[in-house]
Amino acid sequence: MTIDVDAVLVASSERVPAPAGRASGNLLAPFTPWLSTLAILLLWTAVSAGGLIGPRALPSPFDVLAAAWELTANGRLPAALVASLARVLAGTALGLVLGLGAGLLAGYYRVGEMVVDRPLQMLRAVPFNALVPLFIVAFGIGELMKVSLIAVGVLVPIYLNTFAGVRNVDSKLVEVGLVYRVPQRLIASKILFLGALPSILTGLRFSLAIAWIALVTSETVNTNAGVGYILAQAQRFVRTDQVFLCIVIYALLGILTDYLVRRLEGRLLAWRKSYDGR
Amino acid sequence: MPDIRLQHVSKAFDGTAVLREVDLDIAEGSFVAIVGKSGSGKSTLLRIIAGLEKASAGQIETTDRLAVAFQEARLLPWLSVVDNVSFGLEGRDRKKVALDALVEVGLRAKADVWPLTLSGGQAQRVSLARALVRKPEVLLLDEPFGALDALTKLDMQNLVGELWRAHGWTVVMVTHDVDEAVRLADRVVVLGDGTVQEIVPVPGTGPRDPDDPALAPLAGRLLRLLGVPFAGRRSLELETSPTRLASSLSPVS
Repeated sequence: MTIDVDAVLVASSERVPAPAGRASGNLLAPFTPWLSTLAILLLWTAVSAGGLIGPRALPSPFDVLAAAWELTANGRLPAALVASLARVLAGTALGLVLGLGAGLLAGYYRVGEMVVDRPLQMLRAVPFNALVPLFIVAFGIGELMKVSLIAVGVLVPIYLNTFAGVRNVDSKLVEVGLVYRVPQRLIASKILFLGALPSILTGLRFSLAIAWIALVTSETVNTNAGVGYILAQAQRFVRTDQVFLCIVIYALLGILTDYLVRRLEGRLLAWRKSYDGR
Repeated sequence: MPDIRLQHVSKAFDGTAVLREVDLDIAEGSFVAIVGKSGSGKSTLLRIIAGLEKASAGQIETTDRLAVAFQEARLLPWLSVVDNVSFGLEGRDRKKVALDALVEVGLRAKADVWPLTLSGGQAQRVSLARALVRKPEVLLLDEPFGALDALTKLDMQNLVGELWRAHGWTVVMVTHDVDEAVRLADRVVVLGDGTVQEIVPVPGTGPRDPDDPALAPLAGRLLRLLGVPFAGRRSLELETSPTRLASSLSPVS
């Protein structure tokens, strides 16, 4: 059996479910995108084992694993993950509902655009971490401030992509709905919303990336639970292994959410016949 | 009583007149083709009948029960073929109705695929099925076969002709292909400078055979009315089949 390297690479990019037959018989295919990451890990191990940089500055991957074990055993890491995930979920859900709602409102109705678009375009221009002092004043230093900050970060890309997605739907398809006197709600849901969905999902991916950034930012303010709290503590006690651990956790959570959205895209956008890379 | 009646219908876009005082009666159950060069206003006329465009002046009497097939099939790519056909229908049997229509256009096997996997001709069949399920009185066709290859085009013309016979619709078809017009229509309306230049009746009932010898002179007459010069046609007719000749001359717009 010959292995077509191109086919393996294409089949392994999880963007769209690979066409049947392409990846058949190759069990390793799903892991090929991880090879470069593995190489970086090996390099990291080699450099830290070489002793050129001390463990204070660069702990080895094993130190980081040990830190993970230690923090899991004493219960701090699981508790922190639960706290952080809860914040991200709440903030993302809130931002998603508001951004989607505003985007559809502005997309469907010119009046909606007039009301909603300018303020949100201005909000877009503001780096959301510049809002931290304002939010502390408005919402205090508790959970509400953190969730709101994440929500604002999530809201903007969802809004922009929903609005643009609705407005980019081919007006010829809308005409079909008009000719056949299809009810407005069907035009809104089956033509405009489904037509905007690819764009909305792109917005969702941007949003989730920002959600994690917003989480880190918000957790640097008066936190006593969460991954950001462990990070702050580790910094104070110069536990570089724990600092690395937190960074790795953020990276893994980011990859996980991206993977979930890709899966969602594969499911919801199965109708697309687009260029898949070669 | 005509099914569609246009009286003094005019249309201007930004001050430029596209249609001027068009009067047209289209009898119930008839097949009318509207031919004209690009910019003659034929598509605008169809869009006005369809209610997609408002006339600047004049009266239009038409029915609510009309269906349109456009040059592009305009299927919703994110709905399956059968869901496209039944799109907007009410009732529990909507899926069955849609499947029956797909049988009628010969595409039952494609009911569950995505529209983007269809060929151009197949997509147009789905678009016809989508029109079919609305049980229209009037079917409007806007250059429906313009983007199809020659063979698929003949197939689709036959299908439309047969559906027209079977269902007794009134059909109004806009086309720039005079061969297509004389194959299918009872009457061919020649549009020029935004008005009806002439109405040419076609004997017999469509779909006519492409090599019907009566068609070539009619197609020739239409081309002349459209202002296409073709000296020497008569002598060429002796050695070339009329259809081939006419289709080689047909790209008017």
